[in-house]
This record gives sequence, C-alpha cells and structure tokens, in this order.
Amino acid sequence: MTADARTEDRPVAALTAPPPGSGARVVTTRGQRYRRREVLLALAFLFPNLVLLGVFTYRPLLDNFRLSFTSWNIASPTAQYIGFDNYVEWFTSSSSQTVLWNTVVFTGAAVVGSMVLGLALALLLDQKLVGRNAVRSLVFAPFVLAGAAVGVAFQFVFDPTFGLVQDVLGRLGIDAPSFYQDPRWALFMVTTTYVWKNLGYTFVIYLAALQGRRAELDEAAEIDAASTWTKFRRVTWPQLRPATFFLLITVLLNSFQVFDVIHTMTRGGPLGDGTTTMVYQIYQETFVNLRAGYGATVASIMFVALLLITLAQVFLMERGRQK
Amino acid sequence: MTTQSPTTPRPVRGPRLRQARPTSPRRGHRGSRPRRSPLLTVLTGIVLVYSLLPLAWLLINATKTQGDLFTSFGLWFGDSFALFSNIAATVSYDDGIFLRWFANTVLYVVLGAGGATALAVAGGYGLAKFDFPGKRGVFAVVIGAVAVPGTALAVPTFLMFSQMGLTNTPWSVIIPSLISPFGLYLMWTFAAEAIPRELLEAARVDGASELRTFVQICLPLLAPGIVTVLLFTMVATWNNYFLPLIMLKNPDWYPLTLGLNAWNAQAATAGGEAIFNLVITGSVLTIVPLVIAFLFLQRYWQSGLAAGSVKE
Repeated sequence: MTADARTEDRPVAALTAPPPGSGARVVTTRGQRYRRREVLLALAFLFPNLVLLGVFTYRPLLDNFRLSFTSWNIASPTAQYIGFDNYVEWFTSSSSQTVLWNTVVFTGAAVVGSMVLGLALALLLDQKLVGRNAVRSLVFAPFVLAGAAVGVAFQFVFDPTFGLVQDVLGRLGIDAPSFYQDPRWALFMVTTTYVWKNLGYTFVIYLAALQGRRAELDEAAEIDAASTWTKFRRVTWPQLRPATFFLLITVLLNSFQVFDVIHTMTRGGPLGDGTTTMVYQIYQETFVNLRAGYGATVASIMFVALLLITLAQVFLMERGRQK
Repeated sequence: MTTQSPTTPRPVRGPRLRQARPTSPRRGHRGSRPRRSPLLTVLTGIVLVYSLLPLAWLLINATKTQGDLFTSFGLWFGDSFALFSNIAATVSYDDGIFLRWFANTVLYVVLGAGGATALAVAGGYGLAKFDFPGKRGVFAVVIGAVAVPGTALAVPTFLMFSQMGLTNTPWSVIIPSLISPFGLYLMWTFAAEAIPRELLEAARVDGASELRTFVQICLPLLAPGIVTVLLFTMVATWNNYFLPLIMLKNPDWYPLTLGLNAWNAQAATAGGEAIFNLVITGSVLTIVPLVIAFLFLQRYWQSGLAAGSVKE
C-alpha cells in the first residue's frame, strides 16, 4: 500500500484545488472539459434510469396526447382520429363542471387542511412533552397506511346505521348527515378521510423544519419579549418557508391523484358523479365506460393544469424569495 | 479526510442542503418559562384526537365478532374478544386467498420497491458525483418526471402492456414500479451532501476501482438515504391500487389492497356473504407490517426525509 505516503500530500492537493477535469491519472484528450472515464461511469449509473423514465414516463405522456385526439373503445384494436372533439366535449359538458368542482374542493381542502393541521401539530410536538416520540410516530402512521384499507375501514366509521360518527352524534342528540346519499356530505367524507391520512406527512416535514431552525433567533425574540404570535409570524414562519413550498407542491400533486380512497368508499358516487374527481373520471371513462380516447383527454387536461399550477408556484416562490 | 482548507471552499455539486445534525446549534434549551397559548393547546389537542381516534377505532373493531360490530359502541370493546378468531378466519377464508394476496404484495414490494431503490441509488450517485455533458438536461428530465402524475399515464401504460401481452401478469405491476423519480431526486440530494468529493478523489488516487469505491466507501455513507428511499418506495408499492386495478383481472394475482376491496364489494352486495369482520381485520393486517417497519426505522427516514425537504 502506497497510500500512507500519499496521505501527507492530500491537504496540499486540496489547497491547490484541481479544477474538475484535471488532477487525474486518466489519459484525456488535451482541452477536453470532461474526463471520458467519468462520462462513461455516469452513463453506466444513469442509463437504466433514463431508459425507464423514457419508456414509462415520457413516452406514455406523448402517447396520451396522441390518444386524446381519438375515439377509441379500449376493447377494440383500432382508434379513430377525431381532432378536438373530446376536448370540446369535456369543456362543454355539464358533468365536467361537477368533476372540476369536486377536484378543486378535494384538492384545496386537502392542501390547506393537512398543511394547517400538520403545522399546528408540529408546533405542539416540537415542545417538550411526555411520550413525545411515541406520539410523533402515531401521528405519522396514517400516512403509510394503504388508502384502500383506510377507505374500506372508514366506510364503517361513517356508516349510517352503526357507524362511529352516527353513534357519537346520536348521543349528542344530532341526526347524522347521510354521507352516502348527499353528494356534498359524501365529498366531505372522502376529503376528511384523505386529510386524516395525509396529516402525518405534512406534520413530519414541518417538524423537521422546526428542528432545523436557528436557536439564536428564538433567543433574540425571547429577550425582546415578543408575543407568541409575533414570534411565530416574524421568526418561525419565515424559516419554515422552504418546507412550506416543498409541501405545497408535493401535497398538491399527491392529492390531485387520490384514487384509492374514493374508489373504495363511494365509487365516485352518489348520483353518478358526486365524488368523481378528474383522476376518477379518467378511470371511469377508460375502464368502465370503455372510452379510452376521452379518458386520455381528461388525463391531458389534468396534466396541463397541474403543470401550470406547479410552474406558478415555483414562480411565486422565486419572487417571494427575492423580496 | 480532514482537509482544513479555509481558502478553498469545498466544491459542492448539485443542490446544497442543510441537514439536521445533532451537533449543530439548536434551541434544545428552551427558556425557563415556555409561554403557551391555551387556545393553541386546546386546538392542537383536538387535532391530536382527530389523528389518533380512527386508528384506535380500527384496532378496537378488529377484536369484535360480526354481531358485536353492529351492536356495541364503536370506541369500546364488544362482549367477546375475537381478535384471534378473526385473524384465523381472515387467513383461512376462501382457501386462504388472503395469504395468497399477502404473498403477491410481498413479491411486488421486493421486486418493485427493491429494484426502484437500487436504480435510484445508482442514478442519484451518478448525478451527484460525476461530471458529464448534458447534466442539466438530465436534471430537468428527472425533476420533470416527479411532476408527471402517474395516474395521468394510465391509458397509454395499459395500452403498452396490453400490446406486449403482459396485462393480467405480475410484470404489469412490477415493471412500472421500478422507476421512482421522487426516490431518484431524494437520492441525488442526499448523495451530493453525504459523499465529499475529496473522498472519491482520494480513493481514485489510491487506485481503488470505481465499483469498489462505490460499494465499500459510498454505499455505507448513503445508508440513511437508502433506507428512506426504500421505505417510501415500499409504501408506494405496498399500497399501490390504481395500477393493479387496471392491469389485473385474475384475483389470484391481486395484491392485498385489491383483495380487500373485492371482499368489501362482496360484503356490500345483496346476497353476498356478510364478512365485515374479515374486511376490518384484513385492513388491520394490511397496514400493520408497514407501520412496524416505519416505527423501527424511524431515525433513518426522519433524517433522510428532512434532508430532502429542508433544502433551500
């Protein structure tokens, strides 16, 4: 081993700071910016990922746009090109309004609800409490639960004859709303269930951000005898900005795609489309009504909408940071 | 590798991130009189109940017989404690189909989540530690894929597998699970921070092969990140519902999630056998393994996830 002798040289080597691309024993063409060996290695490490991303993400994405201009019964071998007919149908149909409204309510409530509740819990459990670690894990637990299992089990919680909600409200002398007949209450039911499931995620991210915040700022605020609210508003909240941004994007993307809770609890009903969101509509049109072209159209609209929302979020965040 | 060189800042490739290190200054020492608003405490107490009560309900009701389920109060135990007979009935119902679904889920998780993690580790390492032309483009491809909702690709993905004749086989569930853009992103941010570039240079100077450097030096440093990615890909594949629902027709290949839904649908139809206690106990058996995995590996995923999200 000649390593011992070289150890001495290393600090010097680090001081002279070889620019990337030099300082190597690899034979390189003079003037080439990249070391061939590094490029080949990077390719070896990345190749399988790039192939899979191409085949299972980007190619289907393009394919989806192509299919959205066709009329295609998923059981038949051929699709027929029909131009923008599907898009015209979606934007003019009255059921699309319901679907859009359901999606906005569900996603909006999921994002706001789980972020506000998650932050509140993180603030509480950031303090010293007995059994804090156990409580943290319990609060996080719902996030890892299967949405299908949660949906199946929660039907019983909301069951009109023996469910927990009905039972508790009954003891207080209140009639339980009919969660499975009234579309608005059905939407409320699936949304509360999903917020419950997602709460652990926002909580853990906010908690991590709270624990990474800077001690001296808190101390300064305490010396200035700032009120709890002022301290939160001026000291804590600005430091949570990256976490909030990260959550806004990921929670929105995730809740837009919720399918399992809705499918197991209501199958998109009651009254046909009472809890049908855009993702559910994709499934319903493609695999139940067998209108795959129309399903692809809904998917395309959803994708473009999500892209625009995400870009807007990034833009607003960048602008907020520069202020 | 203690190169204290104030004049040359360490070259950091990829994103910078702040990691919660135990040694970093934290406000572990709160003031002697922590002011707390009673209102906030009450509100948070309500949230706490909201987040814990359903879980308690589920566990309690898995101990009830079918009869008790309908007659006793939801948040307390019934007349008889039937947890073990419920479990026995769940795993033996319909010739033990539940165990078959359990085995299918394990198969999909081991191959799907295991493969996705291995690929994410390799890809994240490659992105974080090597220079190559078109790197920014590859970043864009990965970040872009994070933003593509998988459910929006249902129709073309189904078409692709149906053309290959792979629908209704385990491959149609496993192969699409192999790619996890979020895992790749998480691994890349983690590797950029966890592996100092000088360490790689030193290993190369010492003549270690790239493979040996990767396996013996880098993998141990990446362990917390690997556990985090593994846990999250496990959650994704274990709980996967949409993909198997559109791909699989034969109940013999169902994962647990689809199986539960099938039981549930059967119990809800008129004339179907009422197996509500099996549905509830099955739900509990479906969620328990993941909860246990997360409890035991808590310190890994908490730091790993924090590293990925707190990045500025």
